Amino acid sequence: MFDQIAFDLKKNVRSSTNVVLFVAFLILLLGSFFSALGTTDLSRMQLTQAYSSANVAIDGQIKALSKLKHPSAAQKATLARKQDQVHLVRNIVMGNAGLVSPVPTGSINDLNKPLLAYAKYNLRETEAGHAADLTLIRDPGVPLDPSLIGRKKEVRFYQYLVAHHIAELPATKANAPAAAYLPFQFLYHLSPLIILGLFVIELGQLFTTEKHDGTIDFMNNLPTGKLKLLVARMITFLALALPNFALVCLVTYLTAGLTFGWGSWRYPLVYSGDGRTAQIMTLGHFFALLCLMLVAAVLFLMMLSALLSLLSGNIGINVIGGLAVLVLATKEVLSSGIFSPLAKFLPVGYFDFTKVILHQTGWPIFSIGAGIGIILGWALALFGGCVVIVRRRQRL
Amino acid sequence: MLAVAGLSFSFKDKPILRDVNFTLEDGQIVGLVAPNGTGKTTLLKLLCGLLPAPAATITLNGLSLRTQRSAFLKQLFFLESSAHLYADLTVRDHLLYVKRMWRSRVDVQATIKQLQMESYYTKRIKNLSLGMKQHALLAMYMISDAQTMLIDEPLNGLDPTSIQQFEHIFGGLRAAGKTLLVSSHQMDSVGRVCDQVFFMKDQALREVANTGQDMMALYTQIFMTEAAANV
Repeated sequence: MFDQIAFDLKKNVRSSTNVVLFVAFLILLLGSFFSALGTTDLSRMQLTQAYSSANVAIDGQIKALSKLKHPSAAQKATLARKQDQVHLVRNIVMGNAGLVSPVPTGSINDLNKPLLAYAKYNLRETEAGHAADLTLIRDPGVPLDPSLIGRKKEVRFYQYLVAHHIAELPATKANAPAAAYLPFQFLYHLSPLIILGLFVIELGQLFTTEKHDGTIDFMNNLPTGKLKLLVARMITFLALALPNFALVCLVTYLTAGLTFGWGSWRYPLVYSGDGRTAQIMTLGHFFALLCLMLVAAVLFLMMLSALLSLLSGNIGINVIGGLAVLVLATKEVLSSGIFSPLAKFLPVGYFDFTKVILHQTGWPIFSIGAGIGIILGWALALFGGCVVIVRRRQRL
Repeated sequence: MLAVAGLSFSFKDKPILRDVNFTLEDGQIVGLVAPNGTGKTTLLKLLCGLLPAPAATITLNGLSLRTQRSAFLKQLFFLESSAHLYADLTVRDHLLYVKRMWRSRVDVQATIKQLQMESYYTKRIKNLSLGMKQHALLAMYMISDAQTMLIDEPLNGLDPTSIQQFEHIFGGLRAAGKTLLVSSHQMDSVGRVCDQVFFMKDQALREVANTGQDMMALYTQIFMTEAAANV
């Protein structure tokens, strides 16, 4: 087995596919980096505008309510609430002004604390049934979530920022520091399905080249079990593809770090596993889970590619088969009536890692651990298919 | 000893072999001769299991191709042509790999020297001429040390000196007790090297012992007389 792996590595390490995919991964992950180099970062300004917009909107509502000659009791109560809100939002605007001024004054928590206070107010009002009277701050690049859990997440998020003296990173921040840059790529800019699509192409190439070139006959004539050859090829793929991708991530991290600063892996992402309580996940934890799910999904796709390669040596069929599975992993398919009830039992239900990890899928799923288990279970089933075919015909 | 019984094969609806039976004894060189497209390479592929022949019984020194495949293949070497070598790997890579996989004791350096490949054994296959690749392929057969060698048109692309060298090596392998089934169109070489010849015609093998007769005349008699009559 070791001899076979060494030989397979030697065959494939020189393949131009490795270089092409390295460059393709790098272009995908550094896309925001290059666009950030040529432009001024507007994310802080967009956030400032979001605070101002909320302030202006509440001011407008107060003026409109104040002009009423004979306000009802409900309108009076709304006006009172609006006056509370405007006070809280002005504190935010003031705190922000100190930070964004040409000569910054104050500390990060001068903004975090009013944001936390406003988040807590919004939570109380939502719980009290006054959600309709709220003016929520629209974070640029993040969909507005007006639900109760949305308010709980906000409170939990700012509590963490205050406790750890961390400045909020806008989702649209193209020049995010290295620790946030990579997770943000997956969170806001790049679907994991595109990354998996590139792995599908690499797999198709690796698992069909021998049949295409005719060297498969030599492999089939080796005095060794053919399953060993197939497993050796799988190990070869993992030994080449995963370090290749890891190297891309490292280069991206270093590039972003040297240019935009290093940042902290302790920056929070907020999510709710049960839909009732808000929880914090650090960027480090998020990225580790993302890598884990990526490896599981790649293992599944590898087994699929291996199985398809036993049925056909055509790279087109192999790649189209893999891409078809990725199409099934899109939210349009998984949220549809037919697939939605089954999604949590299918590996593709867990391929949109960022949504799965932060429990933001539009289809039902189990926990992350169970999801990884399901992906690996299906991968094992596909491997079983490979074993049956290879044992029966004793050829690759 | 390679024993074949009840070997039939069709490609789509075209029959290639029909109930072929033969035995190859140890220490023999057997020529396999037929016009292009008759099925020589198909027969070689069937003998090592690259093509399925579920009804046939193929054994090599008592080992069944169907039920003891790895052990069967350990005693056999077949690589269709030098075009099926790995273009990005060197000759040396191929030889070392064969040595490991067949667990052979044959010395790689000695084989390289014997085939006068010192100047290019570290070069990648894609940078070699056809003749060099044929040498690399023959070296793989030698390194495998397999008891039975199925060799498909080994003399293609070789100059007369190399042909003599190859024939000499074939003789040496026979002397070492190896069995060689060699497909070839070079009838003069077949006449010089082979102990017997399988002429493949009408989905069957006609076995002819080499008694020094004119092989080209025999080929003409078997294949071309009928073709001329049909014209």
